[in-house]
Formats: sequence, structure tokens, C-alpha cells
Amino acid sequence: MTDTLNMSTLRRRSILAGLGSAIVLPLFQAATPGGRRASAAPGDDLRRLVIFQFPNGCYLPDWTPPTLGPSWQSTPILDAVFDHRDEITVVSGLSNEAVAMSGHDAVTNPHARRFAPMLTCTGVQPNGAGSASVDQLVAQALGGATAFPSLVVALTARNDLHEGRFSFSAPDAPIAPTLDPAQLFAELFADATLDPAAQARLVAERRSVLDHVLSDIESLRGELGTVDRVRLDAHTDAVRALEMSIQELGCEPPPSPTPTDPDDPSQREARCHALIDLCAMALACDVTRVVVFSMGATAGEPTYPFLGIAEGDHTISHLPNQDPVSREKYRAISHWKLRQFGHLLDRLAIPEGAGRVLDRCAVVALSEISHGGSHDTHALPVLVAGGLGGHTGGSHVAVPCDPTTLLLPAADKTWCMGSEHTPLANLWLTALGTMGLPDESFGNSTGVVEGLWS
Amino acid sequence: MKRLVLLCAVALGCRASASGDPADGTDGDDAGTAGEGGGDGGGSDDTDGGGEPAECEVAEPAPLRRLTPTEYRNTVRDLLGVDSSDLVADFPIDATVSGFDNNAAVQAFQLGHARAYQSAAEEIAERLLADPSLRDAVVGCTPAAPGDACVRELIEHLASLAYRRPVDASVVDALAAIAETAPPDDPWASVGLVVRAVLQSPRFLFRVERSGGASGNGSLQALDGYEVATRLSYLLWQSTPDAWLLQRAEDGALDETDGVAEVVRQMLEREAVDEALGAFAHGWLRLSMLDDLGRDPQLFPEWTPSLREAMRAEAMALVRDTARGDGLMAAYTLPRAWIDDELAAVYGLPAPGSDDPTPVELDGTADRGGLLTTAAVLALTTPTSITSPVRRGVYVWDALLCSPLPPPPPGAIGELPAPADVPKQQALEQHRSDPACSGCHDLLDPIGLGLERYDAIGRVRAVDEGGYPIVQEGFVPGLDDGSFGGGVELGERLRAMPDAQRCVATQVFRWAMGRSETPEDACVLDALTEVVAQTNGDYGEIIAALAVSDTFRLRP
Repeated sequence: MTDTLNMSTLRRRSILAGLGSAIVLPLFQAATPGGRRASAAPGDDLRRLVIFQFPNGCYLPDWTPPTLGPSWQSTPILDAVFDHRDEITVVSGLSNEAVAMSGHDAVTNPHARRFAPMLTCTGVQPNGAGSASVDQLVAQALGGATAFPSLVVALTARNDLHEGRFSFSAPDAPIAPTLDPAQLFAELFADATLDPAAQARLVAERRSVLDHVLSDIESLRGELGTVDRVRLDAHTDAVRALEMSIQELGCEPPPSPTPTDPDDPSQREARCHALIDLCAMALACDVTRVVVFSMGATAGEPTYPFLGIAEGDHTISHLPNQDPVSREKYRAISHWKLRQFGHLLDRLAIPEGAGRVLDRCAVVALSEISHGGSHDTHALPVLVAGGLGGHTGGSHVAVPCDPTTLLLPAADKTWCMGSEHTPLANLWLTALGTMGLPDESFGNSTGVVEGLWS
Repeated sequence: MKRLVLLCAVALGCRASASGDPADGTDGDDAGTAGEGGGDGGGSDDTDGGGEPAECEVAEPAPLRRLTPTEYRNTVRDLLGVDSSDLVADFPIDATVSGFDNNAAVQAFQLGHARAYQSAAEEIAERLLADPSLRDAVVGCTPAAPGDACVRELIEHLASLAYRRPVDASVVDALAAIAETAPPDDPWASVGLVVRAVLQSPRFLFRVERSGGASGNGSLQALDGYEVATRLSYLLWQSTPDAWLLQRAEDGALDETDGVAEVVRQMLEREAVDEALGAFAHGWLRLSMLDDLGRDPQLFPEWTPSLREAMRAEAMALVRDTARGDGLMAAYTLPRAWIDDELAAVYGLPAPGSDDPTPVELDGTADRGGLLTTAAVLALTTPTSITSPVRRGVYVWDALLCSPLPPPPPGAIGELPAPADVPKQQALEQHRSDPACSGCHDLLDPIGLGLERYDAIGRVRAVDEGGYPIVQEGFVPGLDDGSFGGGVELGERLRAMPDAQRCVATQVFRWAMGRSETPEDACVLDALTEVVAQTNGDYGEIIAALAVSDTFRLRP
């Protein structure tokens, strides 16, 4: 086993020799099919799920293209990704409001009731979400295919269970997002910087230590009650996953990210790009196949001096939209957030085989709410991209939607037709199928969304 | 055109009307607290106060608790002498529940944890072995071969300390086996492997309690002495029981309530209690809400990360000081501030000439003194640069009265006009004119309005953001004499409220037990509330009363 590792490491290194460039793209081109993964990775069946969340909604009339159909027209916010129009389907009308309202009354914060259920589509509970989130269902099903079953990354975060967590491996098991590019880099790639001999020794030692830990858990298990055993089982699962990932000492490491100061707004975009770049590299190197990237926790208040805006993000979302100055601010920060999504799509355009990494991705961008002022989760802003499942972009589609509950002028909701809202859960159920995990239902789903993925 | 949008569709209704007793029928707390908080409140005469076991004969299942990053760091420091502060900074951050980051119900164990513990253990072992003085202090002999007698001796010693109880031979054997896998020419490496294995063991990472549970018959069993020692140690010191405490367990001192009470008193003497109290304060007062606050640099050029940390430090110092001094209830009114030069400027006080929190007496300082006047509380309840009376009201109900109000009804729109266009008081009045909104906002707004004299960083001001004169009066709904002006008087009002006393007891309970309270905990909370009432919230007395209670000592 040690030999195998050495061989593959050397092979990877020889493939990559001379490519220690600071530029991301050539490295990707070389790294993708590299190493030991070549047999498993990027086969025809490689499927990836990428979810991009931006906080505090946006003003829908500034987001939604005025008409349905192909070649969606640009809008003040979607202008940020108009270069990618042919990649992107604009999906209007998905709602998570029923779920938000079904949350436990003990969770009183209106943002919290809507943020934690974004990827679970079940009402919040005092000790977590109502279920595991869609990204983690996929991660658990893909299991040990990659060193990291998923990456959960955020530009900024809060630590409150409901206002700050969006990915749950189990109803009461929130995942803490990684926030620091340097830390993310170290987790993904640090071991790959060791020389082969040191790597081999480390692997052997880790194996024996983890084997010991597993048998230690097992011996302890019999001494505990059933409730505690469940906890211990989580420990076992985590250690097993770690053991399985031990061979995956990463692909050729990219250059480490330039340090950025999280307290300095002028560095926020650079920090965001560093995180997104690492996520994209992790996907391209097949270190993971599931990425959730959060631009920030709901109700967060980062300020935007670099856009000439002094108020906090959440405060801006509560300013009256009728006021042109307020509306322009909300528009500007939404545009900035969506530009980061554009950056992600840029980065995923890395060549892979005959196509691009993006071709094997199901990508969804969304916010946890639609209307900031009312915390409304009817008609969420949602984009779908990536070529997985035969998805092609370019059009604006609407799912059945009840216009009477949308707090918008009639002219701004002509796309919303029907008598009932379509649950956001339908999108996740459809995505599960696209990821090769068809199921009967997810959360409060009522069916699948037709026409996005085949 | 800016205007106030009002659209509260359905009133869920708040439990107390403006004229009612807010203590009436309180419920809807985080875990469905049995909200009998109140009653007649003022210490009845027929209880004995702290120290007497609360005979509630109820114990909720105690979830298996995992070390928090702070507990991990302190434990490693006390076991091995190694500083792992930088390593635990990369541990997955535990989610907070009601402000506390030690709630076992949401302490996940995921791949990210396993990975973090693995790399931390490797680094800690390396640091230990790289420093001969640390190494010799821990090992005490020189191994000649992997897994030799010296290594075995280390294992026996280290495992019982790290696992917080005597260990079986099988545990020692298993660790010895891993020690033997080290290269023959590198006997110290076997020590490293032992340390790595111990630091990744569930016996180390979890606070294992073998009593109870296994029987499966639902009956209550007493924790053994080692388990009590571990609970007390992490509660009071945020670290592992030391040799002295483990010895007390072995002696049986922790098998009886008298012994527990005595040990608690001795433990309270240690300096480590201060750090733990800071962590309690952090959860109770929800100081992590300071973390991501932003301020308009034009309006608040003085807003800096160091000012934010000075605010945090002061709030923690206030709780520390009162917890073991005048009592936690005194924190509401204590005329003392802990300021560095930056915070002094915010308070309009002379600079102490220090970057460290320096205590100064506030007697006679206008509008300053006590919890509700701290810059930390006033800032963290202000998400952005404009103060929100609603947010401040919400905070008082949540963190200080433990009676959070229901979520806004569906369709409620929270768009406020710019403060320059409509005075805030008027805008809120307009909002409350809708009966769907008034149920809750009648309870929230009057509290926050009485704090309008403090701006977004806690500075005293004469006009608000819109340039309007400050509303001077607020009132605490439900009190006969509830009117107040400013944070000092609000502190005085709250301090006398039975709900506030019960809330202090509840917050200590959440912190100490690592879980939210349940209706079954009403009995022990009654007892703790009584202690708060009688001792003005003496932390040691509250802890002592909890430690001897069935809730603390028994497991189902």
C-alpha cells in the first residue's frame, strides 16, 4: 500500500513537474486527470453538486427578467452574470415559506426560521433542522468517493445554530463552515506538500492510530447507554471516513492563498475569490464532489464601503424598496454578490476531458429569502447552471406560483401564474435525482421540477 | 418618498398585554421552559437556600458531551503543558444555542472534527517531544525501545489522567500495542504515537459517563465520583480534573452531597474559575453577536476591532466581578466599568492610560453603571449604525428575562422609514397601532425606547440618528412602577423582577448542564431561583446548589 502511494505520488509529481505556476488554469488542466484518481475520476458518471447561497434576498423586480422563455433579458442584478447567460437558467417562483412557517415556535428570529431550512426544507427545531440537508444527503451517498465528501465554506458566518448554520449532516448535527482561505488550503492540500517518504510514514502511522481509535470506540460502546452509543457511532463514522480518505493526500497543491484580513471590507472580494478558487480546485482535483458556498449568514451586517455604501447588508435589505436611493443600494450589493457567483462559474470552466469541470456540475445559486423587509420566502431568487443532467441555460422559466401572496406590484409579477406555490424542496428533489439519487420525496416536496435536468 | 409600511397579517399574540403581568403564563422559551417564572418571586422564608440538595427526583438524559475547543485547549495544557491555542482555532466552531457554545445537543462529530483532532494530536505530540523540559515533565523516564517499561509507565499515568478515571489493563495494553509499532531506532516516536492515540480516543474527546443508561431500565443512577469530578471540573475550570480532584473522587468525597458541596467551595478558589466565568458571560450575554458587527466609518470612526474586543472584555469582567462578589443580580446596577483608553473615550471618561480593561468607579457618572449601560450590550443589540429599540427590547426579553416573544406573523413587514423622515418613536407608535403588531411590540418597544439615549456604540447622546431629541422615558411592561430613563434605571427595574432572577438561574443551568432546560427541569430551576433570590445571585451558591441536586448527580 505504501508502495502504491509512493508510486502515485511520484507519478503525479512527474506529470505536474514544471507546472508550479501561480496561475490556476494550467495547473487544473494538468491536475485533473492526474494521479491515482484517474481510474475512478472523471469517468462519465462523475457528478458534482455546487450550491451558492447569498444572504438577505434581493428586490425581485431588480432580479427577475421581465418575460419568460429563451434568452432571458438582463436585469439590474442579473447583469452581474449576463456573460454567463447561456449557462444559466433563471428559475422563478420556488417557495420555502410553508417550511419557514412550520418551524418550532421556540425559534423566534424570522431570519433563523428561514435560513436553517434552506437546504432541508423542513421547519427548524430547537436543536437544529428538521432533517439532514440536501448537500449532505448527496455527500453521504457519494461517501468515500473523494477525500472530502463535501466542502462547506462561507465568506462570513455567524455561530448561532439557526441564524448561522445551513448544512446539516443530521437534524442535530450542523456543519461549521470553513471561513479562512488559509485553513481551507491547509485542509485540502497541506499533506500533499510533504515529501513522499514522510507522506508514507504519516499514512502508516495514521492508519495504526485510527485503527486503535476505532477499536477503542468499539470497546467503549458496550459500556454506554443507547443514546450515548448514537453519539459514539458518529465518532466511528467520522474516523472511518477519515481512514478512507487517508490515501487521498490531495492533488498537486496550488499556491497557498494570499492572506486577507476578514475585518477589512476592502479585502472581502479578494478573500471571496480565494475561497471560491479553492472550492473550484477541490472540485477539479476531485478532492470533493459537493460544495456549498455561502456568501454569508442570514441577517449578517457586513458593510460595503468599497461600493460607497455604509449600511450593513441586512439593514439595506430592510430599507423601503419604494425609495430609489434605498433600492439602488440593495441592487448594488445584490449585484456584487452575484458577481461572485459569476467568478465561481468562471473558475469552473476548467477544461476536463473533452469538456469542462462545469459540464459535470449541477449548480444552484439562491438566497434563503426573497423579500428582505418581510423575510418572505415566496418566489426565491434561484439560478441553475452547469451541464450535468443535460442542463442547458439561457432561459427564464417559472414554476407554478401564487401571485396573490407576492408583495409586488402586479406588473412585476406577471411571470407568477397559478394558485399554489411550488416548494423549493421540488428543486432539491430533482437535484437529488440528477445526482443519481432519485427519491420519492424530500422535505415538503410535491414533485420534481421538469425541464431543468433530464 | 419614504414611508412606513405596515402589514402585520395575523397576530400570533404575545402572552402578556401591556398592562398584564409579563410573568403570567410565560412559555415558548427555547426548549419549552416551564415558565412559572415569577410567582410572588421575592424569597419566601421557608427554604434553606444554597447547599441543600434539590430533591426533584428527576433527571433528564444527559447527552454525551464532547470537549469544546476551549476545553480541549485547557485540557491539553494541563495534561501535557503544550499550548494548542493556534490549533483549536482551526477546530470546527460549535454552533451556539441561546448564546451558549457548549450545548451538547448540537455537538456534532463529523469528518471535519476527526480531521482536526488528528492534525492537532500530531502537532501536539510533536511539540511535546520537541521540548525536552515538557517531555521530561510528562514522561519522567527515557524510553530505550518502543513500548518498553518506561513507555508503559507513561501510558498508565497519562491514560488515567486523560480519561479522567482509572483505566483497565486492556486500555493500557491497547495503547502499548500502538507504541510498539514505532520504528525500533526511534523509541521517542512511540511516546508520540501514544499521545496521538490518547488525544483521539473517545474517552478523551467525550466526557464519558458510564453510570446510568446502560441499565436501560429507566431508573436513575448516581454518577460515580470520577464522573462528578469531571462534570465539576469542566464546569468550574473548563478543564480536566487534576490529580487532587481525581484523588477526591477516589476517596469517595464526591459520593455524598456534603462532600460535593465542600469540593465545589474549594474548586471555586481557583483562578481558572475566572476564565470559565468569562465563557459563561459570553453565552449569557450573547457576546458572540459582537463578532460581525459593522459600523459606518463616517459616523463611527472610532469603531475598531480593538474597541469591539474592549467591549467584550468589559462585559465579561462585569460578570466575573459580580459572580463572586456582590452577586450576579448586582451586574444589573454595579457602578463600575472596565475600560481601556478606547472604551474610555466612548464613555466620556478619563483615559486610564492602558490597553487593558481597567476598573473605574462610576458613581455619579451620568447614565452609566450596570449591564444595560455597557457598550457591549448596547452595541451588540444594534446590528448596524442606527439603534433599534425593537432589537434592544428583544434582547431584554431573550437574554435577561428568558422569555422570548413569538416570531413575527407571516407577512409582517419590517421596513422602517429613514430616521430623519419620521422620528423613531412615532414610527414605532404607528407600527403598534396595528393590533396584529401591538401584541408583541407593546412589550418590546417601550424597553428599547428607554435606551435611545445610547447610540450604536453605547455613547450617550442628546439627539438620535434623525436629529430628533432623544426619547427619555421607557417602561418595563407589567411592572407597577416600570418607568425608567436610561440603562441604570432599567437595570434597577429588572434586577427586582422575579423573572430576571429566574433567568439568571436558567442561564447558569444552561451553561452548567450543556443543554436547554425542559419542563421537567422546573423543580431544579425553582430551587436555583430561590438561591438567586436569597444570595443576590452568588455564582458559587448557585453552582453548589446545582451540584448537589439530583439533576446534576443522577443519570437516567
